[in-house]
Amino acid sequence: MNSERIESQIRTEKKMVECEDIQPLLFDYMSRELGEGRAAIVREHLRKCRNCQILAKDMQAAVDLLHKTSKAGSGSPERLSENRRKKIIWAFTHPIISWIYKNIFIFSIIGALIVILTVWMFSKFLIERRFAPLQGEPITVIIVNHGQTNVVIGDTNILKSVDQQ
Amino acid sequence: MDSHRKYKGNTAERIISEYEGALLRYAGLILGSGSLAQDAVEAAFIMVLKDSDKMMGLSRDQLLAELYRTVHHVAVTIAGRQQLCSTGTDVMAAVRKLEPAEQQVIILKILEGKSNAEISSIVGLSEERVARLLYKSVMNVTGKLKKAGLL
Ligand SMILES: [Zn+2]
Repeated sequence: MNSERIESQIRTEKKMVECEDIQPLLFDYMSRELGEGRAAIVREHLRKCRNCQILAKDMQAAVDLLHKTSKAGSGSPERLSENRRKKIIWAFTHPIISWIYKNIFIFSIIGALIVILTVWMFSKFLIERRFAPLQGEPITVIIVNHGQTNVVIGDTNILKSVDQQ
Repeated sequence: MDSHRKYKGNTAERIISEYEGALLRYAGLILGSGSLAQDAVEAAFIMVLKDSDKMMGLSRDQLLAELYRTVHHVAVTIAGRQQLCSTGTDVMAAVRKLEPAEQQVIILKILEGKSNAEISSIVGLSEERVARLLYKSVMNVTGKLKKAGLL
């Protein structure tokens, strides 16, 4: 029983120091983010494993190169231009106007729609007024035609023309 | 009203002065261009400062995290629009070819010198997740630099 437990412990420890367990810890080890326990395991593995040594060396070289490149500057200035600063501050102190300004495209479309709608409604109103039928009470006209009596509903002009016949 | 506006103006001025350097450097590393970096930082400041009530309630670290997140988002959007990912053979081009999340952690870690805990609070992921992402990112960038003959 006891020897079984020791064997399984040895197996676990062996597994712990396999390359695939160590490699994900390499970068954290290099940047001193590992606790002392895990750092000691990585250190011990690195001492013996050529593969992981090469990988760690490559990673360190890449990190150093990136570091050097960023120190040389990213090509961006250290400060925003005065114009841009003013724009940011203005946006901060005038949030609503700035919001409208930022969404000027949508506002232009809404504005144009409102104008078109107003013009359309107004012209519709004018046209309706111009061509509206004359308002008046319908009148009843009686026309005597060859002894027959017809009832016609219409305006007085028809009555006149019938009278003249 | 005017004194309140003046106070807000001064606050904005102070925030810009404090964070513009770090944000410009960050955006510059992603975009590889000074003027695009300025575009990204300007947009990020406006986006964060716009919600002034929320912004005023943030601690210094929270504000910095919010600004980093926003500038990252804007810079990645600009990079995508400009198709920057596929161009360039210099060292930073290898970083630009990484996934946005990998770019973010590697820039914060190696180039800005942040700890895993700081990165975790900026990107909103657990420290363990940040460590895994960093490992993947460093492995990828190492491979790309080797492939480009820069290592
Ligand atoms: Zn190994």
